[in-house]
Amino acid sequence: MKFLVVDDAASNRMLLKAYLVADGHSVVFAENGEIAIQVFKSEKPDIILMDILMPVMNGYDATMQIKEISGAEGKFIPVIFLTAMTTDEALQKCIAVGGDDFLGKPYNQTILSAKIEALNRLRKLYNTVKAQKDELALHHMQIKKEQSIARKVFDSIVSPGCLGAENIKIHISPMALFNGDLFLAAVPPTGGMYLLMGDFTGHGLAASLGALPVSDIFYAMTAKAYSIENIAREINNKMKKQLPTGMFLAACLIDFDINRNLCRVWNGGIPAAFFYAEKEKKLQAITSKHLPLGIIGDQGFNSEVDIFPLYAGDKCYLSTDGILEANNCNDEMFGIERFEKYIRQYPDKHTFIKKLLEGLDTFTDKAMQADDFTVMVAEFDPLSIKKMTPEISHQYSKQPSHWKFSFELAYDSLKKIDPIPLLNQLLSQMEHMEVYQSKISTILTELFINALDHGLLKLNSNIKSNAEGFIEYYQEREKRLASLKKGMITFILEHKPLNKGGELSITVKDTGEGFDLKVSESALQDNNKMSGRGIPLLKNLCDNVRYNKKGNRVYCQYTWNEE
Amino acid sequence: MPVSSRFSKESKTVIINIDGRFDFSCHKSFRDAYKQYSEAQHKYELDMSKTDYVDSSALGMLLLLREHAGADAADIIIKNPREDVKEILEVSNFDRLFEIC
Repeated sequence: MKFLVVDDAASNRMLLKAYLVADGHSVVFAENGEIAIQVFKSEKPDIILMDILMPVMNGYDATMQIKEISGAEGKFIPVIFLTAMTTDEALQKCIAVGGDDFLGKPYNQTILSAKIEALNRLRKLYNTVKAQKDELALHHMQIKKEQSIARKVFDSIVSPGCLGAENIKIHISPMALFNGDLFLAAVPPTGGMYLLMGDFTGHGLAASLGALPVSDIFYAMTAKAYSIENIAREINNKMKKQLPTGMFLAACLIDFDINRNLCRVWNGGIPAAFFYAEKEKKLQAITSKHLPLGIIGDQGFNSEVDIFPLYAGDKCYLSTDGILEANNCNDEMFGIERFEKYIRQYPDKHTFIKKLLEGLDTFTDKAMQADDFTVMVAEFDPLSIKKMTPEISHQYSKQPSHWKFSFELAYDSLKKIDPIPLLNQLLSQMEHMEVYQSKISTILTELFINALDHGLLKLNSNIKSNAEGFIEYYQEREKRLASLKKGMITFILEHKPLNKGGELSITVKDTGEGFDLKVSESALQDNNKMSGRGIPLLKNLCDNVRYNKKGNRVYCQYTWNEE
Repeated sequence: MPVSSRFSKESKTVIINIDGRFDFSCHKSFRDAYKQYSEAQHKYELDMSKTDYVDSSALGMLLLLREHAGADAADIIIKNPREDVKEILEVSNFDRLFEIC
């Protein structure tokens, strides 16, 4: 070790040097406090032995300045006062100015060596702790930096959606990033709304890494009007392939299908999910029927969805599990029953979240901050949802093109493929078509469903006259589709340029037996019916809708103007 | 000790007890509990009769054990979970991946 010996008496300096050199240390000197500070700066000693009474600057003042410098550098340089003064006051002052110990003159070599060793131990301990503290501070800084990156990624993940929509009320945990809560909403080109609430196993950076593919898939596939079960399937595959075992996403996907007046739900692992039928004041739990996303491979994936008839004012309530697990002082959990009770008591979307948060505060006696969960109410409000359907932008620079194609799907393909996203994708490549994609997509969907459900599967819409029948209808549909042994659906699309705009004609044929048009026409008159909505919708959207006599071939014409 | 394990020679099964809260803080001890036995060992029994609580990271740990034990070939029984613990396992449909009794 290197020592700095500060003493105005040369004899003392020599004596100390002899002691220290004998112990294997090196020594530098200063004759007074002022010089000591200079030498301290240039020689960087490990330990200082300091006399008190010296000319120019005394030992107290020098020590104060040296300790200030070493403190600013984050170093611990022990100072031992060497003094003939033995008054309590003088000794106290040694420590008060920052000294670490003192030794009375004349020196006893054994005591000096012992004090040096003790202080050296302290110095080493200080240096170790300091190094660890620095390392910790560095790690902490890195974590902060990573968190801010994660935050940016996370924000950009959520922002493209329509979380601010009028029909959605949501309490997003400010800690969402850290407890892995994810909420996404978007409007598909066919209108309506898709929602996804998820809860990751991981948190922090890990969760935002996982959220990235999830949101990408959700937004990209929603934009192409894929169904929520296809979206869930794709997310499941991607997560299973890309993320480590043990990381998964409990998720509930909801589709407010505005064209068919259906609420379709896929739930894998979200415990608090409810559907509220406004008209009947009926609350139903949306049970989790599936494994969370990212656990099993594609073969084990189950795409079955729950279907509810949907009317204006119906609502979905979802929450991540944080709320259910909130504890009160008796170690009791808030639980699903209380959550359900609040829905029954305050179904209105504005009051529900407010009352729930208040209730939670009372329950936990404010022990838990409203930080640890995300809760959402989405109301089916056709007017506000319609307003959000992607609007048409006007930019026509070139003449529309003239084209025609047909697309045939045999029964075995129909079991596996939803042709609408495929057609949408194709049409989006056609000049000008992207502008009308929303409407055209709706028209195609209606035509296709009619051809498949009524044409090939021979389902009768009258089953859907009440809520039970409704579910029965969709169960029957699934059954018949699975056992379908023949049949084909053909789409023929043709586009012709007009003077100012264009004309798209769509023909859809099926190989079924057709249907009695008159029956359907009369069903259209009754707007409150759950069924028979397809054809009036078509008539509304198209300039011309014609069925052949048999009812297995339909022709629609859609014209557009540059205006 | 919230997680403990032993190997039963008669039934050739690794028996793991989880007492108290099963959450992220058990991560290391749970991992150690099953990793100390040979890789070829495919039978596991998780005694969860004294487990008060499981969170989603515990579910993640169960999946890690399942992978360690041979994924789809894994033979893992979750024994005697309390009603509320069982509910959490069922909401996530883990009864399809593990035998719960």
